[in-house]
Amino acid sequence: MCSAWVAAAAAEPGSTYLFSIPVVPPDPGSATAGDMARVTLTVTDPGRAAAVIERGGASQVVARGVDSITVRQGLRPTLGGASLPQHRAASFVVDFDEAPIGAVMEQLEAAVGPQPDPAALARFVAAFIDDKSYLRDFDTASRVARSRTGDCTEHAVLLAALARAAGWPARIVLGVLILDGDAGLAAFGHAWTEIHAAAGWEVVDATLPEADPAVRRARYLPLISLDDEGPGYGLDLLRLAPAHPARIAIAPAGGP
Amino acid sequence: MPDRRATLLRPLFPLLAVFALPAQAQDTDAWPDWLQEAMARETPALDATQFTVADGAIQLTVPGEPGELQAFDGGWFVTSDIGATSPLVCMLYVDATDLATLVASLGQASLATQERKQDTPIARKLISSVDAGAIDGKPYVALEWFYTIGESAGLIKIRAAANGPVMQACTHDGVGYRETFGRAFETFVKSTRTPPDPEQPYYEEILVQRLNDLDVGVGTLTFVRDAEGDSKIVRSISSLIPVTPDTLNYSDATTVSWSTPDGELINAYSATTDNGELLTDLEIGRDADGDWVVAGTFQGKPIETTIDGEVTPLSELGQIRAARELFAGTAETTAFMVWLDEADPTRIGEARLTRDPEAAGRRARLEVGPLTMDFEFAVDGAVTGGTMQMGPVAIDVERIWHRGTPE
Repeated sequence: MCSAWVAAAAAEPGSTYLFSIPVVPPDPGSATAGDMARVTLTVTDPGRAAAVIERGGASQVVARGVDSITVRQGLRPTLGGASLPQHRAASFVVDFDEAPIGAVMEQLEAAVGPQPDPAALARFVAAFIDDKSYLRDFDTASRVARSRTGDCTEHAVLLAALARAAGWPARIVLGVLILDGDAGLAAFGHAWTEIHAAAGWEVVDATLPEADPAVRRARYLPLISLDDEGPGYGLDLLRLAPAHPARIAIAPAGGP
Repeated sequence: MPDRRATLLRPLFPLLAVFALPAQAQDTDAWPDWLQEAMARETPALDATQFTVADGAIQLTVPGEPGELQAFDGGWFVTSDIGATSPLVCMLYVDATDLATLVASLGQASLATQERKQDTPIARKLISSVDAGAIDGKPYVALEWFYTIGESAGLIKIRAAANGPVMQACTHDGVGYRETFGRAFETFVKSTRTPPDPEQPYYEEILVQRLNDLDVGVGTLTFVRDAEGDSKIVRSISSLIPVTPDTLNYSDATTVSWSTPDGELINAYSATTDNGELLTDLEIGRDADGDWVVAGTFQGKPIETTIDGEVTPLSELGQIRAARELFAGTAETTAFMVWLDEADPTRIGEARLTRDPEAAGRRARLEVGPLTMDFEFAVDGAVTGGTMQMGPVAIDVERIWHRGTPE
């Protein structure tokens, strides 16, 4: 559901990726909206979409239309909520207690030392998953550790597992990534990780672990976190559906 | 053999994207003349030859000018001249079970064959078509790969159908002959006679799955009644999803369940393969205390859980009955329990079906946890269509064929 090689995707707007989301730029010929922006999502049920976004607590819903909602947000907002014991624990999906993750942790320690920070974890995961592929639906962390294959969901899951194993509270977030690249705007359904560091939750994206020259601006629109990390995670992911936009329009925030 | 157009091929590379799905409306005007001509090639009429195998138990007709039928471990194959530069290859399998996996594997094998023949890797490949449907009540899936290799281009066409106890598939590698290939495959499937199945279903249906109007999957549902009146219910779904222009996700899922005559679930077995890998292999049934036990492998990991036996989930027969009764009565909503199977195998959860009072016909919204999907129903309660929007992707199902009544 996402772009595993986001920089390439940014340089390839209008490509035929199944889950790419059409984006309307701020003005004809303009591809920028500043750090704060109003993002309008075309959805089938604005009421349910607004409920999802308001529950997430990352973005402020400022308008509702017949088939749309508009949120005001910055570039890297995070979902609300405190760091909970579940964000440190092993689960069916984030199964850092499984042997394959232990083996990856040994590689991680050898590569970046015993106390990796979130950015180092993201860079490690980006390099570790050496087969960037859309063929996986939503693998558990131990499967990613074995296969070293996946798209954004596998990057987010493995990063969450390694973060928790290293002592960082972490959660998997699903939403939309809007890239302002060399060739214009592109948007995708996307997954990334939030890691709870000293200043609170922060966006950490192992598919885009560091600034890419092809991407001028990456805007994250978080919709849900994966709350049920048990075998029912597939059902939990469907909470995303009402807020997942069919189209996005982006405009400058225009005041408070 | 692929078509050799060395001098014209290199300028073609930037145009290859026109083949890529899901851009179904291909801009053929952008193609070079030789490609348009090659793509338009067809053979108007094909002769056919009948064969019998398995000591006469299976009869099949192969279009074109076939060679000798040859046995392989698990079936038979034959090559046939269909008036193209390369032959049609058709196979009959007695032990294949997964349609999508079969088609994807044949595609990979065909691409690998070209690499071996030309001793060079495929330069670029693109999924130019996927399709799913039914031929005479037999579900099929289809796939095309357009590729370039060395100084050549090719178009691999693959179709496979489930036909009672056997599966049938044909492949052809050559630019053009799309309609000829489709016609040949249809003849191959329609003409095949297999021994009658001792389990005669009292209801059968075939549905297609669509993503943004692209037919990507085919499903079947069959109900067979045993001597005690219980029903064996078999549901299968096979899908080919082009997730990028050159990446195919293929999956096959089968659930076999038993239902009481009243529509209550007795037990079920569910298996899913994803890209050829067995991901889910689960059973649910009651233990000696009457509680439900779910055990097996889910997403490649072992699971085992117990669910309160007081909960009585409906089988698919029971769910159809619930829909039928909803539309026969005056209530707006009906609720029932279902085993959540792939969505959450560790739960038996509530499903709520709410009719749409504004809509003509029998329309209702199904809600299972956060899952919401709108369905249309036949008068007997069977689903005739359904739709769900997931961002830019419209997910639809449509019943395209059925026989009997699910009562």
